[in-house]
Amino acid sequence: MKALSKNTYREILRSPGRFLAILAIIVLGSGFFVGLRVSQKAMKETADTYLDKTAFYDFSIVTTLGLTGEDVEALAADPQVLDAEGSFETDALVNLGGSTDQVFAFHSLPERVNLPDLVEGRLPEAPDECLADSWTNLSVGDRVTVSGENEEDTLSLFAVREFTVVGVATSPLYLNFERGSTSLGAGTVAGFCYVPLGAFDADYFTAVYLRVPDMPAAYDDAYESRAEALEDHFTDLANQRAQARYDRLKADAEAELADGQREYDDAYNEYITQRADAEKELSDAKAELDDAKAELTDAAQKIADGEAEYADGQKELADNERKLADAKRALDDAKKELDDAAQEIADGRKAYDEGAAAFEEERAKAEQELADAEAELEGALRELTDGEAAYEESRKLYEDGEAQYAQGLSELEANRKTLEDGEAQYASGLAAYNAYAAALRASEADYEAGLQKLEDGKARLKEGLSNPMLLSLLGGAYASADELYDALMAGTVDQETLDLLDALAAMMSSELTVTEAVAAIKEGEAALAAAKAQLDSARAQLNASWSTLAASRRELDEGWQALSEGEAVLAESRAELDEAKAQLDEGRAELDAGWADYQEGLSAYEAARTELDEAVRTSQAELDDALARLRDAEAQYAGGQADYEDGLRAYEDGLREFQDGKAALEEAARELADAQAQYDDGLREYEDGLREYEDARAEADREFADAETELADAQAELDDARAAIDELEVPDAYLMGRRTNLGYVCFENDTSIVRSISSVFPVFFFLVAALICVTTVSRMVEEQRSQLGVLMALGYSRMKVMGKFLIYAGTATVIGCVSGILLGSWLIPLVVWQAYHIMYTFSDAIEFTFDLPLSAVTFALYLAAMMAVTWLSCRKEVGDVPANVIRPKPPKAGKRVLLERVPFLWNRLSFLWKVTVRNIFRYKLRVAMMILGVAGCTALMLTGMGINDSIKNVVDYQFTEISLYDYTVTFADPLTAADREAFMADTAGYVGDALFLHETTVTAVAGREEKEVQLSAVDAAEAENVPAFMDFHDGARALPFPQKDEALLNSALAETLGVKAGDRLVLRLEDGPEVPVTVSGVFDNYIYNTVYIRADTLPGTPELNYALALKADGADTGEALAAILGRDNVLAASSSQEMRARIGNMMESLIYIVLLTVICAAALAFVVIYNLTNINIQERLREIATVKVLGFYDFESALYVLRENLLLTLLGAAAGIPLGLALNAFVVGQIELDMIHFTPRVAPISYLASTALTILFSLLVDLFMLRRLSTIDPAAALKAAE
Amino acid sequence: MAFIEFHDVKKVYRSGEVRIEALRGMSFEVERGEICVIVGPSGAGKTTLLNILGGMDSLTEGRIVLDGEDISAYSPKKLIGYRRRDVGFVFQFYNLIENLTALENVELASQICPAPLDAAETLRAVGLGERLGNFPSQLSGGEQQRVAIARALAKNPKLLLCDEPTGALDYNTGKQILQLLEDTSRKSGMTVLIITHNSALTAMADRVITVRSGQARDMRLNPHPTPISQIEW
Repeated sequence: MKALSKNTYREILRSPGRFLAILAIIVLGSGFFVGLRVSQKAMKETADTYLDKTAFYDFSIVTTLGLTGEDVEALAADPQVLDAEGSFETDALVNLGGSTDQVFAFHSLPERVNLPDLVEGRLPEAPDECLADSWTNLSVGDRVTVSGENEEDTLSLFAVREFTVVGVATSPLYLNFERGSTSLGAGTVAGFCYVPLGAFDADYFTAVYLRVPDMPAAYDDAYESRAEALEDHFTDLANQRAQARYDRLKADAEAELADGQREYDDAYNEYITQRADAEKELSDAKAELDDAKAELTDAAQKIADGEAEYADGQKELADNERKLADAKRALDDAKKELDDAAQEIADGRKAYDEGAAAFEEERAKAEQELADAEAELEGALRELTDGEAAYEESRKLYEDGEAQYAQGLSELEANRKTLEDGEAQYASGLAAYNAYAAALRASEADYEAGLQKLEDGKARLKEGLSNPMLLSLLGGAYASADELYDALMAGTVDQETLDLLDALAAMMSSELTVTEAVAAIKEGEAALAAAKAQLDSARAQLNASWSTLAASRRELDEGWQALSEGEAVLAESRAELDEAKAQLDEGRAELDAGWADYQEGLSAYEAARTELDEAVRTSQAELDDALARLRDAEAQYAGGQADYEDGLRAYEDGLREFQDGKAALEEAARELADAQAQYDDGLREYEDGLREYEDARAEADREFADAETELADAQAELDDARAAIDELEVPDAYLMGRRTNLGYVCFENDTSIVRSISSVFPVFFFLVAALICVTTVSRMVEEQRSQLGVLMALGYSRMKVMGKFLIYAGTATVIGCVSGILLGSWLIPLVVWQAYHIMYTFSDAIEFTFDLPLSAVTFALYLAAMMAVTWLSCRKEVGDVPANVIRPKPPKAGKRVLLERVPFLWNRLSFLWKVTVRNIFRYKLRVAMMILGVAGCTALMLTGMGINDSIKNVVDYQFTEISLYDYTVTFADPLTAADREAFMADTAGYVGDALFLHETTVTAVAGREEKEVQLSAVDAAEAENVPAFMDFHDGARALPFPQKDEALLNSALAETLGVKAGDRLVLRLEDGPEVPVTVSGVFDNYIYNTVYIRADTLPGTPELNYALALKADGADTGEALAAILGRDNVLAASSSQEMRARIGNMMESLIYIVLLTVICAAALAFVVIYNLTNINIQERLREIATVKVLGFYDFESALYVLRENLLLTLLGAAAGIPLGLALNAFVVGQIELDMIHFTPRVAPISYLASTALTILFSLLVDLFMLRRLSTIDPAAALKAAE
Repeated sequence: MAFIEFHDVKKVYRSGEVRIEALRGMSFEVERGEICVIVGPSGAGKTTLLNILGGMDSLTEGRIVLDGEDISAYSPKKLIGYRRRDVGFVFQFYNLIENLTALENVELASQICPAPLDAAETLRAVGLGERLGNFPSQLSGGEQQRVAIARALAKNPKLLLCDEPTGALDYNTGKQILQLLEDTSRKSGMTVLIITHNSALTAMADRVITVRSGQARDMRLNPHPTPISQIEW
């Protein structure tokens, strides 16, 4: 291990309290957060596993007439159904050996869906075995007897009435303790009981449970949406099954009825036959007698008539002969008319055929013309399209040209610019050159003048030397003056001579001595030579720059040339482009003209087409008319022909009849004579028969009466059966999802409380963890300032030095987060389940889940935040130069606080309080953190207790102050006045009073807000009775029942819709009409959204289908509910008592939640106060030691520090109250329970308790710290500053 | 009977297996009203001596008598009372409470004493009459040490214990502080014990005790103490 790492490692070991404080807050924060988040998930997964294991249903179908095996098979065959199973369920009173009967819900033992989960024993096998509810205290071997007190209807459902318990189980249908209500006994079901299907004597199922394949996990949003998506399908299925069930039942009944009818009919027929036979015999006899009598009379008459007839016949025969002749004539006329008509029809047909041919020809011609026109139009279109393409192409070319031109132009401009710059440069160069040349010329002039002067000097010397006397004086050493001069110049003259010459010069009072003159000349020559060289070089330079200038002149000229050429080219291309543009525009114009022509041609073509179609239609109609007329004529002709033939046939028949008549007449004359002889024999026989007949008649009448009575009875029976069949209605089918299962829904509601709490805690802990880290690291940095300086001075990099703190905080975060997440994921669900296990017994252990993404995010967030605050805390120190860091930091200066400026208050403070107040304001961050931590502690407790208060109070308030009714009753059919009276009479003794009203669901619309609400409409006459059932008030103010066109709204609904008293509101009824109302008031209400109106506000007469009922004095709540539920037309009824009990039970688990928040708050308070006090003490060790040296007693010196804690605790607790109220409002808002609106409420005792507990926690930490403070050695005051 | 008597005082610190004898039978006496300078090298036991005499530490063996009271027999609680009433401390690093003004620092001591001097008066006496309301951070080192001395004096103690009072000060300021201590002692007859390792200061003392290896090696009386203003070092 490197020395630096060792240092870090030891730092952790050296201050374990400090390290553990960071660790603890991170464990708490991450643990609670992840734990609470995971708890809801874990609870749902536990439930899901159980529901999976027990094959919990997705949908159930119930019809009012039950369902059969056929329905189950049909449902199972549906592709959306994984499994279907019929179930028979009935409530029955059972006797468990005690004196009172209880109600059990009996279920047939399922094999595939909603399987019971055995806790003990085995599943029933024989019909007299049963599986008992684990919630009851039945155990294996106990006996369950279906009580004889049950109605006969109930008893008849059981084939077996005594059961032996062979197993105890839980059922997915009853997740929690709720077993539901019943119309039997005390109104509540005590438990369930599974028995084999064979134990029931029923040929139908009460429900079919369905499982759907591939359903998402229970309680998942995906489950809800999938279930919703399937609802329509299954509702259809349910209705189909209901229809099928009805058809089958009806068919069976009809068949039975048909059998009965057949029997009756047979019997009736037999009666009729027998009676008819008897009657026939009698009447035959009577008829025989009558016949005989009549025959006798007839015979006498006939004989007379026959004679008369005979005479008439002869006369008729003569008439007929005449009529036949007339008929013959008429027939001949008709024949002629028919022939004329045939001729006419043939002519008509020929004219029609000609007309049709002409029409076809003309039409073909017109079609051809149109086709040509169309081809022409298409050609034109193609040309135009080609033209457009060509145009586009040229346009593109033109645009490219433009672009090129623009580019050329800009290039040209650039060149011109360059050239102009060149010109300017050239001009300046030229000017420079000229100036230089002028200077050179001046220098040359100077040079010339110098040369002249030199020459003059030389001449003067020579002149001086040329004195002949001189030469002689020199003794002829020099031949001539020139020789002397040359020798002087060459320097070959000896000194003696020179002296002589100088002397001479002096004598001659010349300006210079010879020596000086020689020197001056030599100097001048040298100077001139130098000037000459300079001039030469200057000239050379000048020449060079001249040639440079000339060259750039040439370049510029070339450039200008090129530029003007470029301009020419550009001008040319401009002209070309302009031309192209003109051509393009021309082309466009041509194309547009072409398009116009084309459009014109097209519309002409379409007009022609329309005209043709119209003409064709008209001609065709005319032709069709002609054809129809032709056909009518032909039909008339055919009719005439038939009539004629009929007439002919009739005539021939008449002729034959006439001839027959004539023969008959002759026969009749012979018969008349025979008849008279027979008549006399008959009369004697007749008188004997008459006596016999009258005896038989009397006996038959007696027998008939008996048979008829019997038949009437049978008929009545059949009519009854028929009426029963007619009354049979298609049963109502109900599709029910999991949401209709109370246990399933309650479970989800209960988990929502856990979720709402989990959304509050983490923020606090996170903030506090960051603050603790800041204070701790800041303190460490301060303490180890010089150490840091040493490390930096030793040459450790800043990052390495800072690394110590990063590793310190990082280690705490990593260890804290990992252990917190693991511990939280395990412990919190465990604790939460302990609470919920009271109500949900289906699983002993919660399923532990580990939410990896959540954990990873939490971990990352904590690590990032801790690293960031650590970095921020030590950045300043580490960023400083080592020399500064190695020196101790001057202690934080004392300062006057604001309070001192209020002498009135300040002077009243005791001296030590002044010190405390100053100290508090000395470390603002620490104070902020302390207040935040303590405030958080108070707030959390207040929230926890507030949840308790809110839920408890809401229910109490709702049912004692607002909803005064004891029951709500929903009726199956609208109530008539008689129904109402019957209801009141039948439930007398149970129901004291009832308010009947119309209840429906409407959509309340206010501006853009819409909400589906329950609408209750009360008759105007009943309005004055309402206050006995519902107490409408707004705060302390009582609200009157609304008038016509007014409405009362509950407060939560008004808030959602954003309306208040006096605002307008529209109620959209289910069947469409909209009813505008004025809000007359907003009443306090927490359960359900309801709008109350007077019934006459609605159109028509609203049906009464709902009632609020008061329990009669002294009646038992459950029995009264059973009595109400026992009524035929009651669809559903619920008791306020039940609702209160249900919520009361939820409260039981809530206590654990409150406990959890209190523990959590305590932990928070401990960690924060401990950490801060610890740091406070460490930082002020010397101060405390000094105070001790001064003679403060232990308690006094402890108070010196802890007084701050007390003050800050009080401040924090005070700050925590508003925070807690806000949190409470938030958390309570998150809890949703069956349309119940919880209003955040905090009871005074909760304020008191949360504040008191906070102070208590703080005092406990102080007590702990007291021990530490007492161990501080006063001698420490002598030590050097750290 | 002398004002302060050390009788064979031993102090043993135990730290695990290690046993350190800080005082190995120290005996000396100091008379009332004397300025006593205790000199000795580092580790000689000077501070331990002061701690025990100041009632901040207990002794292992021996007896200490102050003004006739056997303070070595005091219970821890009685020792606190002793510190409160009878001893004034002056520290090397002043040990002022940063959050209190000069006056309040003095009051901090005087308010818990049975018979304190007036705090403001005491501060004026040490020459800080103008700076009563200043916080320590607004005072120079010398001024801070004056406040510390005022704080010690305001308790009106029997004994003033000074642990390297000039250790953190520059030469001139240190001299002024010593002057203040000298004046205080001479004027009010206060017994002053000064611990130092600067032997030049011995010249100002009435009594000089040299401590070495936990024992008082030498104790001599100075019949003619040199006023501090004449001492150079």
